[in-house]
Amino acid sequence: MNWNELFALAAREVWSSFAMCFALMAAEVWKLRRRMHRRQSAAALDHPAQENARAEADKTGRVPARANDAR
Amino acid sequence: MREFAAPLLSREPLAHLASPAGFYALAGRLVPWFALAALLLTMAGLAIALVSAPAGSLGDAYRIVFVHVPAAWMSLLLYLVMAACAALTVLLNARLPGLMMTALAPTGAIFTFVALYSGFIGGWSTWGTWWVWDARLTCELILLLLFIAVMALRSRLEDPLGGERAGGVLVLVGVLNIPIVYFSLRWWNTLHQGVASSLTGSPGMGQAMLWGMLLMALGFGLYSMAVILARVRCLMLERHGHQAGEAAA
Repeated sequence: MNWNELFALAAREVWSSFAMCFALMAAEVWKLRRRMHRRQSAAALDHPAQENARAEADKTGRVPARANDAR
Repeated sequence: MREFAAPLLSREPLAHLASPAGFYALAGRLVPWFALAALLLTMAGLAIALVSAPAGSLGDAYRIVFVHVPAAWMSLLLYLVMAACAALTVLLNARLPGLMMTALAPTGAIFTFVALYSGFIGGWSTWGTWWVWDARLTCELILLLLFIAVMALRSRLEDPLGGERAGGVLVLVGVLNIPIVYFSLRWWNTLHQGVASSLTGSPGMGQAMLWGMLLMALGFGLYSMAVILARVRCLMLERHGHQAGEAAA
């Protein structure tokens, strides 16, 4: 299928523009939520009061999913 | 710690909100409300676009304008806001506008891409081709490249403040593109149809189209605000770690 056939198909299906738009927006939100969660967990581990969680993370090699809640 | 905590001691509410810690907390409270309002307005706009608005002479293909036009408006508006933030960053060396500028670029790029993509589809239906080197289309493509260049500059430079200042200079130079996008239909003969003809092209369609596009544009605007505020919070955490959240608590 070449570009012309692809655009002809997309033009027949009007909803593809709407779908593309909302898929991109949803992907942006999903990516941002993941990024925020990761940063909050890392920030919580960075806190001086989080020695236990940090030690756990050092031992297991992974960041606890809800480390920020421990505060 | 000190750089976030100090503004909290100020008794002036505006000074507190302008400080990174005050902004972090305020943004956290605003994001869910903006997101909810964006969802409701976009749903209302979609209902008009896909159900209420009557089919035009082009059939259902014209419904693409309900995505295309608001996305194009948002791309220009976000660039203008980004240029204002860039001016504050470059001229006053302000930190918060620099973060805002960095946070605006991905959302601006998404809306510019949506405007271009829906333009490809609409162009195929109306002109028989998905791309022409038309003034408006070319300037919109340059706008997309500018958004991408700001994102690339920010991520490639190791010093975030240096990256923001370099991106700010690029944004200020690129602002020349905005009047060209806006006035291109008046200055040159282009394939792209004018706004007036699309609003009044079919009798009885104008009001539904106008309301549909306005609701979608408002929804996109509120969505942008929610996403940009959330991204600024993220950037603050990346730059300052737990100090941002702690000072804001």
